[in-house]
Amino acid sequence: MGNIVVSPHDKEGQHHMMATPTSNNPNGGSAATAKNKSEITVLLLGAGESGKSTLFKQVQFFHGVGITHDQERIELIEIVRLNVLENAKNLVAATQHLNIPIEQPENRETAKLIINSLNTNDLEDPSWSKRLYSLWKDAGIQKAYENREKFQLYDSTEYLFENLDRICSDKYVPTVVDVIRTRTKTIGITDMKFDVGDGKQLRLVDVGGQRNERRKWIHFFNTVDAVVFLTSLSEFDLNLYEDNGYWRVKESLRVFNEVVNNALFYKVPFVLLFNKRDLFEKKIATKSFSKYFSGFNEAEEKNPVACIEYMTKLFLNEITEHPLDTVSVKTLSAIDHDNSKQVFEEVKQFIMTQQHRE
Amino acid sequence: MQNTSQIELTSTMKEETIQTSIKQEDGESMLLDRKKKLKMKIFTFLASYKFMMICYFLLTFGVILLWIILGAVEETMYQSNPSSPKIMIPDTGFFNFSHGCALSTNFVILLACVFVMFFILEFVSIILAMISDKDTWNIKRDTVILLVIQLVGIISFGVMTGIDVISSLVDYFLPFGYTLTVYSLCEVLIYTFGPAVYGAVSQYLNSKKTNQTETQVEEKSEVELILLNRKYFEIVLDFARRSFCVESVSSWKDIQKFKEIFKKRSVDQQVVKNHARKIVENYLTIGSPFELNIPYIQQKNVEYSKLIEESESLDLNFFEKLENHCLLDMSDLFERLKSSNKEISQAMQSMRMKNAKE
Repeated sequence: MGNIVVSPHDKEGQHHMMATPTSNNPNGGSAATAKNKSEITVLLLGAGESGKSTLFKQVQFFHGVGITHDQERIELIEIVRLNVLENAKNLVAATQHLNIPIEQPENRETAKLIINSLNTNDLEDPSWSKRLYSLWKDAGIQKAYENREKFQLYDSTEYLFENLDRICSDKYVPTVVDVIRTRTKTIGITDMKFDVGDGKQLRLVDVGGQRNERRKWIHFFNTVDAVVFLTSLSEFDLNLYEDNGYWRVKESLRVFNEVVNNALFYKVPFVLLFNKRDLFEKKIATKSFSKYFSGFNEAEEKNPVACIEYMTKLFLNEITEHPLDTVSVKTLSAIDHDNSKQVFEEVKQFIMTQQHRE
Repeated sequence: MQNTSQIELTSTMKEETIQTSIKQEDGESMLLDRKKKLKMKIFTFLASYKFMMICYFLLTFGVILLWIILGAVEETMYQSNPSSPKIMIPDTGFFNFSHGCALSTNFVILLACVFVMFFILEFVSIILAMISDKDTWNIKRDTVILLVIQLVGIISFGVMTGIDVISSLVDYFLPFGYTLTVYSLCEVLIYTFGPAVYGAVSQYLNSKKTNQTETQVEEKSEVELILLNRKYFEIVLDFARRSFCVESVSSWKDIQKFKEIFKKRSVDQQVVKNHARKIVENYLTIGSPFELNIPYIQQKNVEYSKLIEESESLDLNFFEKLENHCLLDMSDLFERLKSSNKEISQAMQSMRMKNAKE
């Protein structure tokens, strides 16, 4: 098991962000080269809700830190319950917005309480498990859920509602899956380090993805040794959290274009991860993929492989500057532990080989 | 007991993973803390009743001692040579209490020297009072008022000395030296009696108010309790700064300041509105260094600005929604902070226990 530190980046990191890549500053320069030898900095980038933190949490988990311990997960009870409440609130608000009435009168009562007074401490009472589940199963709420592309909702909604009997109990301790599934919007930048053998350390940097957060990425661009860019496959029918009139795919492509063609990354290995494959496969079974992409052959729209191929082309077309032989494309389902472990291992290998080539 | 042992258990688990570099940083900050603590101790002592009592006693005894010494000197000189006039009080003596006295020039010179010494001290104190940046108890205002009274007293004393009718006739019934004593009386009224009366009145009004609104007292979350503690707030702010997400913390702080200003000066809506404008400008403007991670930021900017300009007076909870958004955003920050800072983690745990008991 490697030695792992989870911390906001240390003072050294701050020093680095000051140094320019062609810095003549002897201190900054030598420190950077010394660091390159022993430490590989990998940035997890991507637009909001592309799964950067989920992958980050998985990596923490399979290195035996953070959420591996019961104590750490107990701290997250509040967050899980907050997720339940947020989901419930968003769904209720959506029924009003979309003009879909909640059918059962007792569920309408529950909805009122959710909007007005319910807080996370109330969820210790097991009676809320039944009330919330009954609300979730209400035909009105289910109809709103089917139209979830029209408003903002976490991917974890269904999972959390199906596990209410555990969550609404005073003995509740979040499981690892609960923690992986909960959505917490990352703000700022955070990192972890772990040994990767050969006396080298890998420093994984997780960042927030929304528009205001992206301006902070630049602080790490100078020290980067590899970029892992995540994008969500299942966002093809969704609009942005920051701006509900803006198509998420367009935003992802734009951010990808800016990052991949950035001169600082010309020589840096670049991994493009198409995340949320699980959700994507479920989604295209019921929704039309070709409706969103005019250039896509409609006959192929239920075939996930063809869809992913199309998306891959779309993204690779954005690359104008970066040499293609240092770009690797993979699909991922970050909520799946084994898949994350395998994909991350592959990513690590790719980065290490690229490093050796240099 | 059980809880403390649990806390210790987690802390030892974490210690294994903490790197030495971080320990060094802790050591540095502890050194700073010691310096700060010493400074804080000195300031607390200077503002304490202990210090005030010592000053008052020293001054009182000092002046009495001066009187006894001067009296004794004069008396001994008079005893040794009864034919010469007394140096300071010609027609009677220091220890003669049967009737009043006139002053000799010598005594006036001596008194003037003492006054000059006090004026110098007063001048320094006034300058210090004026440049100090905090004025919680309106001491600046009171000092200016007293300074005016003092100047009027001195000038009128000087003028009256020159008017024969007053200095020879009126003084016989009512000593015009009282103009100076009036100043001392005002000092006691303004510095001591006044604040005691304001304090009692506002306490009475507050108790009336809380009786009325007792049922509305808001429950504060652990995150809020941590932020409201000055020492913990500093830790949170520093952590946020180092992980590039200071905006939600500082926005929360500014909203608290808005509420404070509102409570103190709701009559002066211009001041309240100016602060509100600053909040919108700093936190809800695209491209601002403190831009918040919030949906529809541009729309929110327009809405808030419009409300500020168009409404006659703002509400105490004008920014309530924004405040809640900041607190929600900070959940990610706190999750990280808790796992890297033992002190905060323990403080939050004990707060949670307390909340649960209540």
